[in-house]
Amino acid sequence: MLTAITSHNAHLFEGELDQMFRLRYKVLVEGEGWSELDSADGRERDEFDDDFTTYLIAQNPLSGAVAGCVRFTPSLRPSLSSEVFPQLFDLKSLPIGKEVYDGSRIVVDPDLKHSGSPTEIAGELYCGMFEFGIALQLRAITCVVAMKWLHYMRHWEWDIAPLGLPKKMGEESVLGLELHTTPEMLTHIRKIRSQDAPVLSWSDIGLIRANHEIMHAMMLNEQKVA
Amino acid sequence: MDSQASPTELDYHTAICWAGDDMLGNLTLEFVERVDHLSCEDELIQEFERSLNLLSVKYFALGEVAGIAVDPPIQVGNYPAEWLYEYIGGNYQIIDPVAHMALKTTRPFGWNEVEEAGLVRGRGKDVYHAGVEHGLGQGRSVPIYQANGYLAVASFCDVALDPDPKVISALELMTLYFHSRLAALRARAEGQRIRLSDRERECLHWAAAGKTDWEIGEILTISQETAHRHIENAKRKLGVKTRVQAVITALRQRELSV
Repeated sequence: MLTAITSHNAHLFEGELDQMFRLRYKVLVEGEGWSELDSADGRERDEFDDDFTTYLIAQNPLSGAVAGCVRFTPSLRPSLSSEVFPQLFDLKSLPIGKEVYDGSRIVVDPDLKHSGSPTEIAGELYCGMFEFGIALQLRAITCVVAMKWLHYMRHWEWDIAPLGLPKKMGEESVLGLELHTTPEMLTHIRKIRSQDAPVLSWSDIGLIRANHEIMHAMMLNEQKVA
Repeated sequence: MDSQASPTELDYHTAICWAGDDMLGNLTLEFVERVDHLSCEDELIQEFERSLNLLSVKYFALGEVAGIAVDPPIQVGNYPAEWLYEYIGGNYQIIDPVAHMALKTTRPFGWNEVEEAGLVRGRGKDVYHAGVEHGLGQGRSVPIYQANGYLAVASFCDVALDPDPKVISALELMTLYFHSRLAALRARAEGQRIRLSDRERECLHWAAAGKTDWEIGEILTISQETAHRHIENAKRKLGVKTRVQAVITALRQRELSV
């Protein structure tokens, strides 16, 4: 099971959120060597970690330690894709709207020792991503991926569309992508994992939906005032 | 170039260089969106070749780089036939410096970079120069990461030494879509083949390790007769007469792995 965290329940998960930022640091800065994300306190967080962000976290069932995470931000606000990587969306313009979220920082602890392999946790997070998209009836989740992941997505027949031509970033080619979170894809991924059960609880789905409506109403009000 | 000339008066190739981004983007998107609607391998290859021609790429080849060539590698392309026969027959993918380079990098590379990386030496030199003799000019290669763990390489020839990076990017993306669709079509075709049962595969695995029917029975806690029967069934399904042939055929068809 995954846990959903928004600004509404973040106060109940301060410890987990802190572990999540440390995990992101461990994997992205120390592991991948993305020094541009380096920080003084051993936690990786940026301007897209704010009150409008929804996190899904996976926890080690025995220790409760955060073993994986992903985050989503509404496309109607500045996102990683729109602000940091707009050049990766040069084939088709970045989709924006209430039904589009930007996904990023999908991270899995490579050192999992007790029950749950990194692949299992990754599979759980993918299911979580699809359950999230279906709960909100999203048209698309935009993200930036390395070509290697595009190969896997094509192999596993994910419903995706490239939004940009691949560009060199360090040693890899990366591009902007949109993911379609359809019920068919969720069934397909569950079949591949041989796990039928949902990874998000009903109350978390409720939280995600409520948060989605409240956020978008706020953003509409902001626009009216401005 | 007279900028007042209407697009219809220009040939498509010139139009791409002249109008630049839009044409290239549309070409790429068109191919990417079309690919999953093609259910015939020949059609797919034709569409890919058509797109390549529009980018003035004359030759292409797509091959798997297996460490030990147990299976015939996926070989698809329009390289000159004699060169293809020589390459496949001689298992050149093992010594080809282009293949070695592909194992070291995740990104597209020009063949000039292979020389610069000092990989053209020994027998590899012969492969490299033989290609040139068969009419292959300067080229670019794109490594492809397959889900089965084997690396594949797509190579394109007669591309000018320093082409527009956008053209290379377009090639990279279209190649990925081409390859993944090709693999999906082939997997679908294979899925319709007769498969070995788990027990048959297990018995064959131990037979490959040199175990007798009795030893296999001991290992799998089944009777010697049952082990024998599983292997006979496997032989029948694979259409061969001896268990040695069964092992080889099963390896080739990826029913078994070393």
